[in-house]
Amino acid sequence: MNKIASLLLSLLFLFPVIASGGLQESLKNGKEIYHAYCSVCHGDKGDGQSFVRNVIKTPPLDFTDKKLADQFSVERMRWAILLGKPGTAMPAWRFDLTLLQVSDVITYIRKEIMGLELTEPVSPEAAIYK
Amino acid sequence: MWVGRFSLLLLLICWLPSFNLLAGTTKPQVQPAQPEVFDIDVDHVKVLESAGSKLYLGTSDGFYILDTLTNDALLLDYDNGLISKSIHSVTQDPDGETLWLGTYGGGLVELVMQDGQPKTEIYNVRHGLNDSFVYDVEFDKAGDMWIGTWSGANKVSGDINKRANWTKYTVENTNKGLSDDWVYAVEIDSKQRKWFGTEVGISLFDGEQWKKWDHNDGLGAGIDIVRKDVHDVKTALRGDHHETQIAAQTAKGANYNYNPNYVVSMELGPKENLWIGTWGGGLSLFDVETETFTNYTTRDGLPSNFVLALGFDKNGVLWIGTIKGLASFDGKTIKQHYQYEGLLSRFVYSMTFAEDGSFWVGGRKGITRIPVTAHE
Repeated sequence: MNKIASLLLSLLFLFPVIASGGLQESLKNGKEIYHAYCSVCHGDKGDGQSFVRNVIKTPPLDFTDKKLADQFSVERMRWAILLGKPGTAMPAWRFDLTLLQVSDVITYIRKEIMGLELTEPVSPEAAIYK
Repeated sequence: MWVGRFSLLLLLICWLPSFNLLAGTTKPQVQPAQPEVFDIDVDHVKVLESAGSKLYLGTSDGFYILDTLTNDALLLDYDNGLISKSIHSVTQDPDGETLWLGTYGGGLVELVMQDGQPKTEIYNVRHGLNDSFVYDVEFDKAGDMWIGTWSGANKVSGDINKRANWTKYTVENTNKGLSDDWVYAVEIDSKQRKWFGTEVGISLFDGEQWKKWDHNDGLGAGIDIVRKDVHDVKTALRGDHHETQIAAQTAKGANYNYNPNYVVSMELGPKENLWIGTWGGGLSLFDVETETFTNYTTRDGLPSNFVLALGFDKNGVLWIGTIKGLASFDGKTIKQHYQYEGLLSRFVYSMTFAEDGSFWVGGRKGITRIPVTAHE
């Protein structure tokens, strides 16, 4: 097993996976998390328009950019949130957010900001199991 | 990287009698000796700290170390490993070798000079920092580091690389003892009590118990006193948190910008009373013994009720930076200084007093050195 797979597995064991509620509950929780942890950089509307964008090395992503939805899978977003993006201002939230919270905020971003069709919340189980 | 010598613009300022234009009066102002204006082509000098012949500048373009004897300058920005080039605080470590930089979105930066070269290490959320927005850093006598962030305060005891050595203080885990999670200022008094300036007032932590005070207790002048000054002031405060706090202090649909609870600047005075600069509520003096506030506003001579920076000179005179220039307060009278002349902008973000007696002032567009004779 390579190091990355080992890390991913160990992360999964670190975070308790709690059964997620429905889509509406996930969106409600995700919105709260987004505004508590993400909006300060990514903007209240998720468009990357924040004060910080002008003073950090890599500007925050604009989640309203349609091209982004094609490029960013759920798993890519999940690991970016958990592990951060080294060399950028994107912090690693793995000690602060549970897998369920991460899934909820991804659900919120993908549905309410990216405008993607979702009929159920993003699963807190990482794709490594799938 | 060394960026060479500062362009020292010894502006030949003609010191014509100045008048209090903003207040619409013709009250004569104190006339200083000729200041030196350093054109360093930077925006928003939010931090100024003097250390011997060195001057540390925290700006929106990076962190500068200026040698005031040679005018050589070192700039730290993305090229030196910073993630954010907006610097909100600089604090000397008790070891005397290390500087700690608080950045806007780029975490806490440890800076050590080795063989003339800067070595940086960034501490962020994964280490235990509450979030990446660091507004103030202070050390207590035990050597513990206290940090103000936008997600509460941190204490670091011992090895900073061990996550277990980081303690978080938030509104939630202090049972609302901390007034707000947006902590802008930390002060530590001689009793080692910690004072936190937030966007919802001030909090005191004595190591066991928390206490807090806000506008309802007297922090900041009432809107009826400052309404004329705060009317139509355009805000730079955007985002849900700021807007929620301002809305709580303003009437619905009001055309003014005012949050007397917002601690923009905070300084412990020589008598260990707390001086607080507020957003529209003027300058507030908190008597820590009687736990009462005394507020000073434009009615008392302040250039503005938006107070951005505070500092005491060696004579115990309080200097006050506002969005409309500089003032001093000797405990009896507030005097306005250099509303336009000498300062590169009316916005006074920072100040420091050097060992040689020079008084440095940082604003929106650079720094000004005011000779010792000017402010004594």
